[in-house]
Amino acid sequence: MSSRIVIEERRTGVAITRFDVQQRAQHLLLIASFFVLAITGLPLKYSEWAASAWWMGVWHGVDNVRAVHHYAAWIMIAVCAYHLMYIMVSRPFSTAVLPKPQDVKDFIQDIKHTFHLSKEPPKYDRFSYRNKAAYWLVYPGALTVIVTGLILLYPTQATAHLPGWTLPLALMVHSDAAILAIGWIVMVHMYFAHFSRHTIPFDKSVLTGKVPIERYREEFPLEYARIVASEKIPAPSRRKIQKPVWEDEVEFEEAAEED
Amino acid sequence: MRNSKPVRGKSLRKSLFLASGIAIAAALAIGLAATLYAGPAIAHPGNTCNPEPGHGTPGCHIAETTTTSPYTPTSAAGSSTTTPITTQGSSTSVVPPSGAVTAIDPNAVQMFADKEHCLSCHGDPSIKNLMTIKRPDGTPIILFVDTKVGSDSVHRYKDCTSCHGDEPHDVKSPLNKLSLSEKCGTCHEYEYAQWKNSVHGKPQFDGNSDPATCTDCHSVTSNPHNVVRVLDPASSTYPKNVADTCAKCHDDPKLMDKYGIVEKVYASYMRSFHGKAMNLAPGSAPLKQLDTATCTNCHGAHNISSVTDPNSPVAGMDNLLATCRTCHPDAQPQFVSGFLGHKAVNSDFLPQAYWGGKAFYILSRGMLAGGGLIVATSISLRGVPWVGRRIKRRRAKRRRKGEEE
Repeated sequence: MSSRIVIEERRTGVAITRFDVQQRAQHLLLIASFFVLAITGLPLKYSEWAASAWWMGVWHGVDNVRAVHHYAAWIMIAVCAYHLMYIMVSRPFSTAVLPKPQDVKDFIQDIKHTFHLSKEPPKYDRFSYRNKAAYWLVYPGALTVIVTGLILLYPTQATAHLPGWTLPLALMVHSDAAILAIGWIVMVHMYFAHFSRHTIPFDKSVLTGKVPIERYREEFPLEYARIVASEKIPAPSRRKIQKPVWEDEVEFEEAAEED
Repeated sequence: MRNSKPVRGKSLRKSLFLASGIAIAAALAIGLAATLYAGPAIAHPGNTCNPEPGHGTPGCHIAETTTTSPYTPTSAAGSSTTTPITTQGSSTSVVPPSGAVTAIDPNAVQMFADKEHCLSCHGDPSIKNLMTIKRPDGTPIILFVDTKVGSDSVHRYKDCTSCHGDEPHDVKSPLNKLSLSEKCGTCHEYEYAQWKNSVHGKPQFDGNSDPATCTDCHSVTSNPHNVVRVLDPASSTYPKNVADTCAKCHDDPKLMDKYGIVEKVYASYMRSFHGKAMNLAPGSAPLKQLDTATCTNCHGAHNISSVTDPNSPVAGMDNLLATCRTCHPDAQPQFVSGFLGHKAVNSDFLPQAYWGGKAFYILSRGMLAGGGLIVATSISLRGVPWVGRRIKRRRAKRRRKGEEE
């Protein structure tokens, strides 16, 4: 696809670098700030819980918790701004993550496959429709919490320009959006990113950026084919690439059932 | 070929990655350090003092009292005023907590200025049940004075007769809320004058003793022998405790029904950001961490007035704006119009916020439910990955064994 994808040799097998250091650093900063924001924001929302009072005591008071919440918020804002800058200046300008009609077809195919209506799973290019949805959902989500958060951080300055009812509205929206984000990350993102059959229990590519080539072939077959075709690497002989255990077993079992 | 491929720019990438990790750690460490160093200052940069004494802005008292820890005898003695004041004001209906005291603790007794040796009789627990002396309304006067209760009283160095009269058995003790406050007012003139014209004070002159008098707010048990210094963290008037003190009456449904006060002021305060910030401050928080508004900051203390009184600091947008500006100096009228006070948004009050909040709630929780549904569907149709893997591995093993046999 682009020069970004580099095949590297690892001791256990061949891996493709899927995320470069820029992307990994941004993602890690986003994780760190999000985590801090969550653990400092939740006890404010559920202040009547005994656990919240205990947690506030650990931090020596609500003022410290609020201050840390504000620091982490600025880090998150900085990461978001940096990311916008990064996609603007990085060359070649990547359009891989833009939604395309193919994503709708992939989605339908994936539904069929999930409900056992089709044996054929969808073939993804660089980003699956799920990857794209996860990416684009962050934009409205981050925009919502950042705007409402700034209104709450500077209430008097904000109401110099905005009507007064924005204050209680911002408070409600900020906390509801935060609950949505936390719930979504914990349930949906964790499930699809780490608990899929390819990656369970933890997808190390979030840290290393590298995806084993056999998994790449299975998860993103179109991009894999292009990488191989584009010669950056010679097509690895099938003999040398170990099949995933999973595949073996499935074939084995299917064979058993046929017997 | 594979051997020749790998490491172009690998060291650069590694160092960049390391640098980003260090940057994260440094940012968090700086944030934490700066917070612990100057945390409270960030929360409320603009807390200014209401010049009027008795308005109850907690920040004001920091300059007056050099210590917020339980005071020492010297500081208590230093703060005593010139005119006589009370240690012992055997009054209304306070029954000291029973038990514990079986004999007079000589050390405890010595903590009181007791020139006339009143406590040699009145400090004896055995007179607790002596109920021969009664008030006009028939309730007995408890003659026993529990020195344990009064041991941290701010007035413990005042002689009993300061309040109870020079001829102690010629009973001139304060016997109702009004006479009690008059007695307090002989020294605390300014506060008494304010209270007399407050919504708590005025009805007392018409014989209504429901509203609060001095000791109702200044003592946890409404016991005049147990009036603790205003900014003692154990005091009922310490900023963190003010809301609970007011709630003694204002969260009492019977009493509030009687006066037609329908708003649940305590619950709504605790829902507000002021209430949360106060509530979540640690119990031992110093004053400067308690610079968020509590009841008295907006409503006044000794001079408290009804919210229907046009002179109340919370009556009307103009007064409210001035009150907000005591802590939020650059507040604008729109800031006040978005202030909920003790109300909640509804279809009449700030309808934009009400409907907007409702719509976003439905949207966000709907999305969350949808996400949960997707995950649940996926798990139920594809199976839990690790369980499925284990089952298949086991089946395969069994199969292999079968073949071997």
